[in-house]
Amino acid sequence: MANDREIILKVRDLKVAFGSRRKRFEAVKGVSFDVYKGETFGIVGESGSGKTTIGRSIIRVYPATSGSIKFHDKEITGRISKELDREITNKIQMIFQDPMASLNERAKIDYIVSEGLQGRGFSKKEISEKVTQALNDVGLLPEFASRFPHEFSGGQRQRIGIARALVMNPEFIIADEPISALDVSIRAQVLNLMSQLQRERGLTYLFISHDLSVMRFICDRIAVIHKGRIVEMAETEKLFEHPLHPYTRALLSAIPQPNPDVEKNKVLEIYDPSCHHYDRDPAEWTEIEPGHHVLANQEELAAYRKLL
Amino acid sequence: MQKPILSVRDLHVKFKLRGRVLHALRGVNLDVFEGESLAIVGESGCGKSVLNKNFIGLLDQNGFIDQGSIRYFGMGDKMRNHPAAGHDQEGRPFIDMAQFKSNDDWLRIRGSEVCMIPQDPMTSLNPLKTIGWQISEALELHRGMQGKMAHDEVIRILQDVRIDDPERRYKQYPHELSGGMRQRIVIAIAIACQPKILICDEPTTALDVTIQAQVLTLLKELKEKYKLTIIFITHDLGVVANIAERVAVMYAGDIVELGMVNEIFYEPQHPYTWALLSSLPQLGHRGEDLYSIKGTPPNLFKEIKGDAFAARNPHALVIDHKEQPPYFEVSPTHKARTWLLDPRAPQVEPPAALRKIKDIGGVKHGE
Repeated sequence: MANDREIILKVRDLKVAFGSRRKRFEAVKGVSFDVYKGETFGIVGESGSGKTTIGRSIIRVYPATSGSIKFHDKEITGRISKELDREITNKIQMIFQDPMASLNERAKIDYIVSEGLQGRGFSKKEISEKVTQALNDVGLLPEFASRFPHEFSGGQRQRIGIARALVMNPEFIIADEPISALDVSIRAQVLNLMSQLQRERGLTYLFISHDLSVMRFICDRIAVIHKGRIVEMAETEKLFEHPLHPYTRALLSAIPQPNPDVEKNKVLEIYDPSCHHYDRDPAEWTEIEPGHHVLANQEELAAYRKLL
Repeated sequence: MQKPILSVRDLHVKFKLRGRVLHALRGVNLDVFEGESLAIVGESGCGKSVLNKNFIGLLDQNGFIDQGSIRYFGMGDKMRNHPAAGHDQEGRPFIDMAQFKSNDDWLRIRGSEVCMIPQDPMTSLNPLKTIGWQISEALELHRGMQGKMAHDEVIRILQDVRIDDPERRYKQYPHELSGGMRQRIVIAIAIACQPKILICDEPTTALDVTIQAQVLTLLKELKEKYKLTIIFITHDLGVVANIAERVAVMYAGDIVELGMVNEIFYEPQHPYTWALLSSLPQLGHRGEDLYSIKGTPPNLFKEIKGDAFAARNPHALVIDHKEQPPYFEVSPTHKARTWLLDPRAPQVEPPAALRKIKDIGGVKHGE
């Protein structure tokens, strides 16, 4: 069904490890997924699950230990040419979690937004035009350019963070918990802005978060990651209606629902990794129904099929 | 009829900032009943933390109580000789915390009467001391326990907050524990003081959802076991639905709506509560815009005329811009500060999307 769509990012068996020899720690243990053009792909997991590491290795902050990441069918891991590097920095941009910490306190907004454009052969006039445009696009006034970050509220700062990404005219934006630090009402504004920009510019998002209720609203497809491995991946509604992997179900049962009657009677499912018997029957990444992948062994697959 | 343990009347708190005065709390009235769990919700800057810092004497240096009273009924006659002590109409002894002048007064309240669980467990524990030392410090100061007795009590409390292998954890340092465990330790320290009121300032915001759910369950257990009164500050309405019995909605330094949790979620009356609930992502449809509140909260440096929310309120009436609405009672437990409830006001229906709140999460997973 989804096969005819253009794949913008192809990640295959990605592994990222930190440290060496005895202290080696594998944060991402072989992750594969595709991101289609124009969609919002979500990665959800707890802290320490490796979701941020995946985002950062795509943008080449952390080198991949093994595996491949292809952007528009071009390999972007390992040593790459200078031109390609430049192209990727233009086309892949990032929005960070905490707008209080991710903006340089001592720089003015026009510098913060234009930093990525410097040294790329643009004239001063072009740069200032682009900055004005980017600020306009995120709903800020152009005169804000001469102010400092501390003069803005949290929501405005996150808009500045988005403007900084937009000014490069990217195709692909990695949003690492972009709204976790924001208030409920401002959250809605930033989410709306992100989807508006997606409609207008055909942006593709990789949305990293731990908040499943926001994910359900914004993502087309979601991958659930646990301890460096994707355990389940499906279209959003499918995942919410038929969660198969016990970890996904534990996550879903834990979301606090703003509905007192449901909350008072809710039963928590707690994930216990020892429920798997992978030593005698190793788990495989299987497509259990079209577009719905799950990490399971044969025994579990049989049980999951009954649930569908 | 429940008895209030804490009774706030017409509380005004101001801050001096660079020669200007910020009016952070504008006449708050609130009763906290014994043994209940009350959630205070609102955006950042609405004054929910400032309000609670008044109950524990931790207002910042530049802040002061301009007028109003905070009567605490939990001490009985213990402080009857204090100038701030008194009796209410029913003859219950209270102490007015708004009149406290010295830190010594607060030392009798803090810990043994009112305890606070801060937001971030990473910064609220001492990294240089063991878990056991930090909990026994509270026991020594507030309950005069020492040595073996204190040690045994620490182990018992650690078991109460569901920490496995307490003997081993006793000797460990905060950095050896995960975020959820650290928050349990912070809760343990609070419980060790045996307070009557536990103020939880966004205690689960920094935690993962799965851990958050466990900590909330733990708090509910402890509330029953230790007969605590819990004041829960949060902006996560899902958490509110889980833990609260009563909810106070704050906006711009005032409580705009107060009611039982079901009344607030299923029959909200104030346009701000409507807006807050409408912006929940659970009520949105993918591909459509989520409801968002237009504009920004009012500037509290300036005097606010009329209803503070009027400027952002699509249903604002002319009078909203002129005069502050009084509380209108919807039911004996539910009141809201909006002119829309005045009998002379036009009929305004709450947003249709709010009816869907009853359906959120209604689908059982995996059945």
